[in-house]
Amino acid sequence: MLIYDKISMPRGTLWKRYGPLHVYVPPKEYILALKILAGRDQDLADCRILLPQTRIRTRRQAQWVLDRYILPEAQQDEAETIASSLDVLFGSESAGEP
Amino acid sequence: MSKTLHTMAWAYQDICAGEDPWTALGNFKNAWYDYARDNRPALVSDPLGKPERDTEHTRRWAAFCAASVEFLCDRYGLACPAWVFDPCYTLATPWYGDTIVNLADAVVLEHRRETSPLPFARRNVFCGNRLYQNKYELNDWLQEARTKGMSDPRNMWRYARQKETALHGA
Repeated sequence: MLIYDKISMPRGTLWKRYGPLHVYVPPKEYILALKILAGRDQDLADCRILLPQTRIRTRRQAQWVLDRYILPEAQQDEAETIASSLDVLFGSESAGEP
Repeated sequence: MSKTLHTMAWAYQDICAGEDPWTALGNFKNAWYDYARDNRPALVSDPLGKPERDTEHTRRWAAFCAASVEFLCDRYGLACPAWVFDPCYTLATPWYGDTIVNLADAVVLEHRRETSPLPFARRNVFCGNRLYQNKYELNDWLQEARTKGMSDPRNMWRYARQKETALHGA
């Protein structure tokens, strides 16, 4: 319930049908954005696996993905966590883009 | 058939056997926060045991597991088992986790040092302060918010977030 006022949820791609059960796969960039928002080390470990499967190579590109899927108020509420996640994944802003 | 109880010792043995640490610790967390939450002392009472091969990986995760037990026992008001204080669970050099892209990035390392809870920092484990954040307790906090008269989801979220921060850190 709470997540719906924090994100913009994309349509998934139908992956499998099991009778009445339809399983959709979300875009990888969307999952990446959620994991950056969560910011736990286990999420960041997943980000390290996801990143090479996307076209995201820089902190700025990651921010574009966040802007696409995470609503501004949620980004504001979780600004410290997001900044920390991006620092870990791309290096801090003072260290420059990798 | 008896159900496996995913204790911390079990998680550590899984890690030593090659399991992804976050999978093994995730199994422990399912026990701690959910199906065995009424039996938490049993989840942490057994020492971790020694790995077949002593490596940097096994030493780091042993320190992490010991720190986790001390941290969780403190947060949930349980008596901490003595084994976690064995000096073998303190790393000789700081470890910042396996996810940081640039280990020379002073800002990232400083943030980790500032935010890692004491049981981890004392063991030279600097993994930040979001390690044991979870959604298991969210429902309880939401119910609590409702009983306090809140109905706006945003206010309820803020309330739950405050509870989370108070218990687990920001």
